[in-house]
Amino acid sequence: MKSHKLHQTWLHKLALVLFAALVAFYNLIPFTLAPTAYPSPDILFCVISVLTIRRPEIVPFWIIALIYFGFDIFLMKPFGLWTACMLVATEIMRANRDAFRENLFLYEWFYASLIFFLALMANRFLLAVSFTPTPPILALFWEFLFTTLCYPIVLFIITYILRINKPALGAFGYKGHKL
Amino acid sequence: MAEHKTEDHGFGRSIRRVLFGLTLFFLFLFFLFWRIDNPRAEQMRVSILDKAIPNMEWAMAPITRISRIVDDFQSYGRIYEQNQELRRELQQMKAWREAAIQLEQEKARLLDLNKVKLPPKLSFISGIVLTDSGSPFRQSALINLGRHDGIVDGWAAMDGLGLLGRISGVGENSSRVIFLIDSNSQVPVTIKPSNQKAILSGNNTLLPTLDFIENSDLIQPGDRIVTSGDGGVFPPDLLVGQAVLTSDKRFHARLAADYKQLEFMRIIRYSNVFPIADPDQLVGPLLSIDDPVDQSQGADQ
Repeated sequence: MKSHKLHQTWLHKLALVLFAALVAFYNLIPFTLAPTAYPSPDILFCVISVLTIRRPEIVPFWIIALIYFGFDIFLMKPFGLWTACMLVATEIMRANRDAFRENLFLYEWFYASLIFFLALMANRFLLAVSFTPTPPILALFWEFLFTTLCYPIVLFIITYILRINKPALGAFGYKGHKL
Repeated sequence: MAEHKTEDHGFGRSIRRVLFGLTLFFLFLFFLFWRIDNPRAEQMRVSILDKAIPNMEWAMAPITRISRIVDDFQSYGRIYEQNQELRRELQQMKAWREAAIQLEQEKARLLDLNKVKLPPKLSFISGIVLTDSGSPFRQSALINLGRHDGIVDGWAAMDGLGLLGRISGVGENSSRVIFLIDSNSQVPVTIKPSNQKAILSGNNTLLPTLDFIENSDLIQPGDRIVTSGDGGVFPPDLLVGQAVLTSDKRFHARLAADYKQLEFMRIIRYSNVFPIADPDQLVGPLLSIDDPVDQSQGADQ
C-alpha cells in the first residue's frame, strides 16, 4: 500500500513536469509573429499553487525550481529571477497551507491572487533595480487578471476531474506522518 | 523507513531549509550573471535551445501547419472580395512595373555616363521560422539557420519585401532573430524624400516609433523609411516601411514586413559587422582604419 502511494506521487510529479513542458511547447509554437495585445494567463502558477495547498508532496521546491528555470531558458526571460520569485511565493503558501485546510474557496482564491500579484511586483522591482527593461505595467495587469480568472477553473479541474483533494483533518500520509 | 519518519522533523527539515536557501542563492547568482555578462549568458541560452528545438521540429511543424490551415479556412469566406482586390492591385502593379523598368534603364544610362562604382549586390540565404519567443514581452523568433550555414551575429533578416530584424545569438543549427518591434531594438533609419535621419525604436507593437528626428516638419505621413547604414550593422537602403502620424502627434513606422504571416525569412549576407563579444564593448564603426585589431583591444582595457 505504501509503495503504491509512493509510486503515485512520482507519477503525479512526472505528469506535472510533462504538463509544464506542454505549456512551454504551446507558448513556443509560432502561431503568429505579430505582437499579441494580451499576455496569456500563467496556468502553471495556478496548477502549482493548487497542488501546493492540497498535496505539497507532489510539488517539492526543487521541482518548481526545475520547471520555472526551464521556462526562463526557453521563453527568453532573465535567468533565475522569476524562478526565485515563484519559489518564494510557493514557499509562503506551503508554510501557511494549514490555514487553507478549513477555509473557504474565496479565501484561497484571494490569497493566491495576492501572492501572484506580489510575485509580479517583486519581479518587476528587481528588474528595475538592475536597470533591465521592464514589461509595460498594463501588460502585467492583464497577466494578473487572466491568471486570477483562471484559478477557479484550474481548481475545479484538479479537484473534480483529477480528484486530487485536500487531506482530511487529522489524516496520515503514506510515510505515517501527520499531514 | 526509519529515515523517512524523521524527514519532517528536526534534521531533515533543516537540511531542506539549507537546500532551499542554496537554490535561491544560486538563482540570484544566475540572474546577476545574466545581467552582468549578458552576451555570454544569451550565448549559453542559444546553445541550449540549439540542442533542444531542432529535435522538437517533428512535433512543432504539424501543429503550426494545422493552425495555418484553420486560418486559411476562415479566410475562405472572403475569397471573392480578396480575388477582386488582388486583380485591382495586380493592374496597378503592372503599371508600376512598367515605370520601374523605364527608370531602371534610364538610371543605367546615367550611371554609365557617370562611371559610378556601385556596391556589390547583397546575397541572401532563406530560413524557416521554428519558434517564436514564447513571451508577449519579447519579439523574436528562432530560425533553422546557424553557424553551420555561415550565419553571423548582426546580419539583417528580411521577408520578401521589408526588414524584419537582425540576428542576435547564433547556435550550431539555429539562430535567433530579434525583430524591429522588440522593445530592445534601435535601428538608425533614413526617411526618404527629405533624407532625415531617425532612430526606429521598437515598443512591442506593430508601430515602432521614430525617435530623434532632426526636423519633423519635413516629414509627411507616407514617406518611405529605409535603413541608413549608420553604425555598420545593417546595409544601407533596406526598405523598413512608411511613416505614419498617430494621434499622439508622433511619427511611427508602419512596417513593410508582414509579421502576421511569417513562415520564411531571408538573412542578408553583409560582412561589415562588428560582433558583440563582450559586455563592455561599443558597437559602431571602427575608429581606426589602419589597425582595427588594436582598436578593439584598446576598448577592452
